[in-house]
Amino acid sequence: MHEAEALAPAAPSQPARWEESGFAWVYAEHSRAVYYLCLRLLGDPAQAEDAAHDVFVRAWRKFAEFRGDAAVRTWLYRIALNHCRNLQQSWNARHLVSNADDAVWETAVAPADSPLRVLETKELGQRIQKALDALPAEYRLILLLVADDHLSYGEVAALTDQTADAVRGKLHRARRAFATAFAKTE
Amino acid sequence: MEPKPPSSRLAHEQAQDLAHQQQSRPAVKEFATAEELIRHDAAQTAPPPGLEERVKQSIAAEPPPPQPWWKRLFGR
Repeated sequence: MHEAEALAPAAPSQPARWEESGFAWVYAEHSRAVYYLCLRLLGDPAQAEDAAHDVFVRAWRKFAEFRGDAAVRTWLYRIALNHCRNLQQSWNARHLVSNADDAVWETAVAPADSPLRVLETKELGQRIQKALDALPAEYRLILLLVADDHLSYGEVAALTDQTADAVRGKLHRARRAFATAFAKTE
Repeated sequence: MEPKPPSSRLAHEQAQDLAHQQQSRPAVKEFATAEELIRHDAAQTAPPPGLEERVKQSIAAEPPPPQPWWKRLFGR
């Protein structure tokens, strides 16, 4: 066997697809995060399940080409973001949905540094969804990505096509906008 | 007419009611930032139980994946 073959990760093969390819580990490690990102971007559990399924099938198709230039989480998120964006665009085209007005949030009055006090109820997820839905898409995405401990600011920046400094700057405004929107869900 | 319960029994019942109310009341949590709240929500949100099986079945129906880059590179 060639030395490079011995060092390279096992490639997916037809008979041993799930466990031996390493894809079972990819799923176990990242399915919760991918599903959550799809859920909060699409706002619907059934759509999110379908989207997460599609993300992992697409990832499987490209798994052999994955070179490890990016972390697996970042790679999967990029697939998920593209897929959710396509779904939203086709949905918006059919239903003429307009995005939140970005300018409104520039003057959001909630202080970004004051803590969020919440009751641990079943409705908490729905309140978070409502607040995220009210934000401009860019703020929503930055908050969701920064909330993931696995991602650095650099990786969030790469996923959102901007610099890490720009992410930091927008994060402050996104926090304030979220706090304002979240308060309205009470 | 029903006799009034003794005051010690009344106090005991009131204490029990209060304890029950406190137990059934949802806990108040505090999060410093929106990301912390979202992180907490993400930790509470599991993917649907049927998702893994769906993904496995779809992958089983997929054609064999192309050769990995390192096999193509070294021609084996």
